[in-house]
Amino acid sequence: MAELRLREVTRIFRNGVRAVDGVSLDIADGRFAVLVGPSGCGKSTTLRMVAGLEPVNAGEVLIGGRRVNDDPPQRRDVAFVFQNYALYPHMTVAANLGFGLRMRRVPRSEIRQRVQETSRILGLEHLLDRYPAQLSGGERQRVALGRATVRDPAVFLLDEPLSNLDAQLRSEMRVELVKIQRRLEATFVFVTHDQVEAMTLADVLAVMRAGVLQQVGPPEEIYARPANMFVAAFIGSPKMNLISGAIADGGDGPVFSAGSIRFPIPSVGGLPDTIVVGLRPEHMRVDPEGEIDLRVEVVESLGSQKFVYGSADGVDLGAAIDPRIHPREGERLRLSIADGALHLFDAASGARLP
Amino acid sequence: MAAAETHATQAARWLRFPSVRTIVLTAVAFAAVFVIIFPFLWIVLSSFRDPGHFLTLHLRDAVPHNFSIGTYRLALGRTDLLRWIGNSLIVALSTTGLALAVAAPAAFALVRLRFRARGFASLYLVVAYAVPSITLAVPLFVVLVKLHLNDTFIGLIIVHASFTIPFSTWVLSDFYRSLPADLEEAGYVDGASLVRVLRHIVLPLSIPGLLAAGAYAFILSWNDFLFALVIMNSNEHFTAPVGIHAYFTGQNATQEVWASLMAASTLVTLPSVILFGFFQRYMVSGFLAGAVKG
Repeated sequence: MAELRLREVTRIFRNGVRAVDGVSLDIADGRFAVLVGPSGCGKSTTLRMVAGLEPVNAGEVLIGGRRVNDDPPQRRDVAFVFQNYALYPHMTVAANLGFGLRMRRVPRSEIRQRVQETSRILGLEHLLDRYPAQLSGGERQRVALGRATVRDPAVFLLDEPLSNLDAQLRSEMRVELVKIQRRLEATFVFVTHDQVEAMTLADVLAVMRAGVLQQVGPPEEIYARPANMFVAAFIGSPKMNLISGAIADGGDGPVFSAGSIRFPIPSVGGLPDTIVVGLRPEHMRVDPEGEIDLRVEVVESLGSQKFVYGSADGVDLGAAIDPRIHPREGERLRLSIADGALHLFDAASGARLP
Repeated sequence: MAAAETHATQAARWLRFPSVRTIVLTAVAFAAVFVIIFPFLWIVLSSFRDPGHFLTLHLRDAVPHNFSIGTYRLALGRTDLLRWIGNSLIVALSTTGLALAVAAPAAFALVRLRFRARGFASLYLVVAYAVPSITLAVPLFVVLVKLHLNDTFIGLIIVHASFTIPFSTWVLSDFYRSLPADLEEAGYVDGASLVRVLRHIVLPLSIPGLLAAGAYAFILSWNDFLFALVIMNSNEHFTAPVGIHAYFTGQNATQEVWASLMAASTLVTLPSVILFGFFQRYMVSGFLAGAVKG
């Protein structure tokens, strides 16, 4: 168990691409951190640098306060769960689980005991003599997790470990992962491109884009106060509505207008002329007095939730509505905005305004 | 239902009346195979003829009426064929061992490790093939004479290694490229050093690749005639192809000589054929199932 610190960590590929650019991140001991971002944003490369599978071109990686930049993976005491599991195909499940202990010259009897214990916890006891090819996807996933946990490493690194599972198994494993992490009280760093996975798993969420860290914090905070338009659009499902428009003085405060949509916005000092207003679909509700007049184009019903998508005078919007209301496609719907629900961004830089 | 029936009837019609395209392609394939296999087939069939009436070439005698192994008795009795085959085995097995011992680590390094001149080394492997072996025969002979290695097994093994090593490296490079690097990385993270990753992960997974490359190296060495002819000049060191050649050219081509030639050729070709059949089963695909995804 150990804390993990990244200081200005940078990775430049041989073709000159800065895959990871000055990422600084502190993950306290025993936290479940999730690195999230679209594919190619450098999150996996960051994880591989922590593991020692990728060189660090600049900056420092510290595990438990020790600088490990120049240590090979075998001396970093980390466990890595690969997206495709990377189980040794020529070894049985028991041998796969015990391999790391064997390489660390743990006595045979202790290996057997720890493999037994791990396989009991993960429900793999009846599979110990099988080979990876004889296992289902979910079973392979468990073996991969078992191979990581059996060794009690300082940090667990997981590179999209759930992405090869079907939806049902994935949500089961999500719960199981959190349980395992809580029981081990271990430091987990989990990489995913799936923001639902990220939100549900993370104690600490780090959003990356194009090699640059965009925002770090608890998931609720990132959801409530996204640092820029990218984070605003990436975190949250369905996506936050981002409406660009102009600011005018409405007498008792600034007024935002885009097409026929007009609503007052909180007055903050030094507003630029053009801004982007962010509005989460779940922060709108059907209201005959509402300031938004939406022409419904698509209705998505999930049973407990209902989403409508359409346009309000040329501005595309999505809204979450009361599932008991049944708007038809083509119908008009008046929507009002919840108090304090607006996010303001600088249209030029994308940065959050106040 | 109707659709299913139509499909069934279509399939039936297709089976009964293959398209012109299928017929033509099949015919071309059969012709090609026949051209390639005919000389070998002829040798094998001839080897079972009666050595007493060997040169009566009527087409109806092409397939021997009563199988006789007299030719084999002749070949084994009149020549040192067994000794030559033994020599060939010594040379081919040693060459194969040497080639794999050098090529396996070389191929792994070329594919996985980063070092100076890696690109040059890869390129050189291919360029080496552009040189016709006949131009190398005499220079190599001169070198071996200077080293006092001409007419020795070691000399011939070194020469065979000079072309089986690049070839095996090339075959194995392809194999290692197909091995998922994740497995090695998992090994490093699990605490294994490069040497232990090689021993516990790469080597066991390399077996199909090593069998394929080894079979190739063996066949290349076993079938070599040119270098063996140039380098070996005493009967007790002849490999099988050179021995057979020397026996055949060393006397008048009588009926018996022809007969024993056919038998000897069949015997010497056999290992290559068996090896090819054997190594086909060890193709890369399938073996790695379950390592990743699946």
